[in-house]
Amino acid sequence: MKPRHWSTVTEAGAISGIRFMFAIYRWLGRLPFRIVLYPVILYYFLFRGAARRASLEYLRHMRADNRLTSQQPLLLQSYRHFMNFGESILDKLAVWQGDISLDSLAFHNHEVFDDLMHQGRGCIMVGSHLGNLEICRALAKRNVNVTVNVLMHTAHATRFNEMLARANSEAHLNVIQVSEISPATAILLQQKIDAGELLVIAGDRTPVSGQGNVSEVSFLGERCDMPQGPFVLASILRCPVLTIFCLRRERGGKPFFDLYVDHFADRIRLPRRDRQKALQETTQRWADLLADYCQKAPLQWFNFYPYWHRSAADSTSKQSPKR
Amino acid sequence: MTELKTELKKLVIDALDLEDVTVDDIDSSEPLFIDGLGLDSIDALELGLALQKTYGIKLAADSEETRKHFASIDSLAELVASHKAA
Repeated sequence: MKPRHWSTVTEAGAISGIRFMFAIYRWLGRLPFRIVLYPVILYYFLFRGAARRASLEYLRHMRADNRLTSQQPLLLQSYRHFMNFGESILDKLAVWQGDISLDSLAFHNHEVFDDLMHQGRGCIMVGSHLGNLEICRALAKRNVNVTVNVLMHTAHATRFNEMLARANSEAHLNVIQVSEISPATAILLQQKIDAGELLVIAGDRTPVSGQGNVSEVSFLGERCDMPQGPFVLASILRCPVLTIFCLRRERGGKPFFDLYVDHFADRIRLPRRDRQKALQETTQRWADLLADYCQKAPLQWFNFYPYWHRSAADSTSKQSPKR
Repeated sequence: MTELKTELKKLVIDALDLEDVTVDDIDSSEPLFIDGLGLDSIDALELGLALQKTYGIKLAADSEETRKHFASIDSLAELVASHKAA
């Protein structure tokens, strides 16, 4: 059976289930929510074989790459991995509802960010599905005087976004849906950068259009495809690139978030002659950083599809031995 | 129109950093992408931004239309001329 591209996997299916769970949280609190979450997640864990196998594959890679400190059996960690995902969905809804405030967030390394903002320079922030960026987006919307735009693949997650919008009518703002970057989109994004706004793009999911626009990198010890999009965009917009990670932990029984921003490049240059090589090196550097952050919060990797499956493997790899 | 075409050739060369190419090397009717000049999708984005900066042209979101405009120097000249006239 051919593994499915992430964009064809529906958002864990039952939106009505999430709605029910959210109602429990809203009326009874986080503890009852958790009590209900255990069996619900167990159900998903048992019956979503593809997601479970993807989780185990990821955990095996983490362990083989010496990035997993816990010695627990992988099956148990995989179940906890699923639990983390359940909690992250609640966090997204809770933050838009106003239940998570700036007090529950530590902004590490914020000088990097402040410098750019003082200069009034917009930038691209490359994020991922490790941790929970929605927390930053919601808190920025409420507290910070800077416009954060999120680029999202059109095909995905619209129903969940509708739910967020119900929790807070501002949740849908500044989400730019794109399936591919056209010259028209580039112009729109250029205007945003020129106005000192931020563009957040996920750097860990390959484009919906499939073929091309990916570089082969080594990630957690095995070859896989990473999208070139964020870096191509940074090169044509001639803007600085930061990376952003928002990782969760518990503090006093409540969720607490560590926000990490790192300087990635002042400008991405892709000289015509060595374009693919420059892109490959850049995406590899990103993949290495991503792996380091995976190590900080191994169970917050929210990509539950076969990650190391390479869609374009046969057409692009040159004479690499077939396994 | 000839002047405009020369201007556009210069714009293409400058915006895309085509080091070894001169205005005379570009045939106005020759395809810019893949064959001909051999430009790629990243170049298309750069070109779109350059057109916007220089002539204030906003491209429609329709990529099929953009592809037609970007086919050659001739078609680019038509786009710019019609924009100026409007």
